Amino acid sequence: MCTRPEDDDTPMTTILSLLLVFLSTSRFHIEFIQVLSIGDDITTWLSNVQCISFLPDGSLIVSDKLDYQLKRLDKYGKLARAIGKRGSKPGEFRGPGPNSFHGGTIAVADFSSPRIQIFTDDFRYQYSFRALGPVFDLCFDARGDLWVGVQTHDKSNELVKYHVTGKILQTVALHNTTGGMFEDIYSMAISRSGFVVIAYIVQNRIEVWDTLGRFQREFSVPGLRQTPPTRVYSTGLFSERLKVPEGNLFWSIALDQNDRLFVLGADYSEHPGQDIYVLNLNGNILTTALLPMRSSHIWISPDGFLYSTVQERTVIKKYRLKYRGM
Amino acid sequence: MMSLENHGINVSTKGASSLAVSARVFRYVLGVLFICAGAAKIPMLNSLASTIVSVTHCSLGFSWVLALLTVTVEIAGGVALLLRYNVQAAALILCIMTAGFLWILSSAILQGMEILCNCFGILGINFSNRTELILDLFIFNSLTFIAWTSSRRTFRSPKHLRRERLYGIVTFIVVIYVEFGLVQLALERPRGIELVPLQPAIHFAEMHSRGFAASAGRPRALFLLSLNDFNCPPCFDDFVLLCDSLTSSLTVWDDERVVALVRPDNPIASGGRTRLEEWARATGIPFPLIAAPDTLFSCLDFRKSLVSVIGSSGKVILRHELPLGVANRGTIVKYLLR
Repeated sequence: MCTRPEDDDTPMTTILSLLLVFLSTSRFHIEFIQVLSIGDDITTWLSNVQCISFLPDGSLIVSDKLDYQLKRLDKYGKLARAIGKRGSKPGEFRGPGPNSFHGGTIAVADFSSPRIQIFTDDFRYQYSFRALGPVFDLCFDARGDLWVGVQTHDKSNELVKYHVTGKILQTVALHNTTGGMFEDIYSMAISRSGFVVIAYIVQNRIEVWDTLGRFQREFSVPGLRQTPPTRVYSTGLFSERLKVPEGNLFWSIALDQNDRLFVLGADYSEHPGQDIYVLNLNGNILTTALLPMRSSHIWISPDGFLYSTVQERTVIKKYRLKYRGM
Repeated sequence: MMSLENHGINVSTKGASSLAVSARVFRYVLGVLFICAGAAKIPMLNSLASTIVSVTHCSLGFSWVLALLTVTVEIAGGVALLLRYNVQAAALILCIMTAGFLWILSSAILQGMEILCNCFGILGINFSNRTELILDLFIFNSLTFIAWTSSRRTFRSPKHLRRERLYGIVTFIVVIYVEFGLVQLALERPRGIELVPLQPAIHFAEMHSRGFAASAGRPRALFLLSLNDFNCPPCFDDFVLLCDSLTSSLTVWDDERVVALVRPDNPIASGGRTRLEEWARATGIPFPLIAAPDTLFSCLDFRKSLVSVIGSSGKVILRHELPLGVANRGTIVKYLLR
């Protein structure tokens, strides 16, 4: 029997996908009600927010890359503490990148670097270790193990589970990594129920694993193209040519308390940086929602608020999620 | 009609003299052309070396050797053609060099790039790469013709001469066909990105920084920055590492030989001088950052953050977009230290 290879971007498939989205998203709607805006007044100055994690008292740990500081903002958004400056010594950063908090420990990776620094929740430096490659995302699971997305250009070990001391516990061979420079970058979130969710930035693929490193399933967001178009660049006449995607499909993902997956659409969504696709972990789309402002990243706090960075990552918006029609 | 068989050339006097006259004209024209092009490059060896670095990615030292070699071959070859000294060898050496130029130009055109080759040095004649390609093909053919007509002929039988002529005609047709195909291919390719002159940006920087204007007789560096480009890790790293190198290499900053113009496309850049200064302080940038109007960047056809080095003559001798890479960072610092 001969089968035709799937072409996800044919007009008919796109129409069917959009129809599917329409039919499946008519069940409930989400409204975003802004409750706080941080960084748009002189009291709290933010340069380039790379990541946010949440402390139990409602305060935020913010990686401010262009200010080279790790900042603690209280629950009202006021700057409570900041540490760091540009450098490579303990407590210094070349630009703080992804961070995560668990049980009194904060892990912070340097921007585009393998160095991960561990701090206490009152910002005392503990120690640091080096991951297998530059870190583009990290997240603690419920047991306190650190899941790290690294760029190793080896498709078999671009998701690594570390003990908080830096010892490698497990490497996971993801299903859609290629070893490429852009294709393997992903956003990661870990659910309370123990699922590790991976959404590739330039591939319309979402993978679900459990925290023991066992593959569960993978799916796509319907109605979106599979990959962005690419352009070939060369830095010099006789240098190697580089295939660079023209834009991203997704910016980031977040999981709420009910294991609903929020995916922030990027350049190929109808409203880039504003469309949020809400799916369950079986890959069924539940609804789509529209953020009030174009955003670069989203997070959901343990108490259910959605945070996003806007205005080129200089402002953090906090929204209450209002579900209607459920 | 008189035969030239005793000279080994079995052609009519009319044909022989027309060939000889053509060869002589080509010798004079190309001789003058190569001497002028070579001599005009001497004051701009810096630019030629930087072009070689950007094309070949070799070290700055080696690029200087190549630049000197190019100039020497051009001048010596041109003089040899004019003085009719070892014409065949001179024409063949120049032929090989022109073949190298053809290879570089055709590679650039096929890859959609545009090389600023500074082929005519201080004369400031800058043809597009396509025009250069056609010009170089003409020069290559002319040099081959000179080398062929200047070769010594031994006596050959009429049969051999007929065969040689046949081979010559077939070779000529094949070469012209291949060259025509190459030119067609080059002309059909979309144009590479033309390098827009940076003079408006230099002028703006001089207006807003007295130190930058005052150090006009020395090598200077001008950054054109969009902070949004710093979401690309290698771009961010390169900029910061270059700042570190400049800080450690150039100790006196009061002359402001380095200035960065920042595009107001980011809240930090558009949020007033204080925010930009605060960012510069946190990053450890030792040179002035000036928020420039968006219209300036638009008129420069600005696409990506770049750094340029302006030589003591006021001409841009190096221009590179971020990310730079280790070699280019080193080259920039070396130029500024001169």
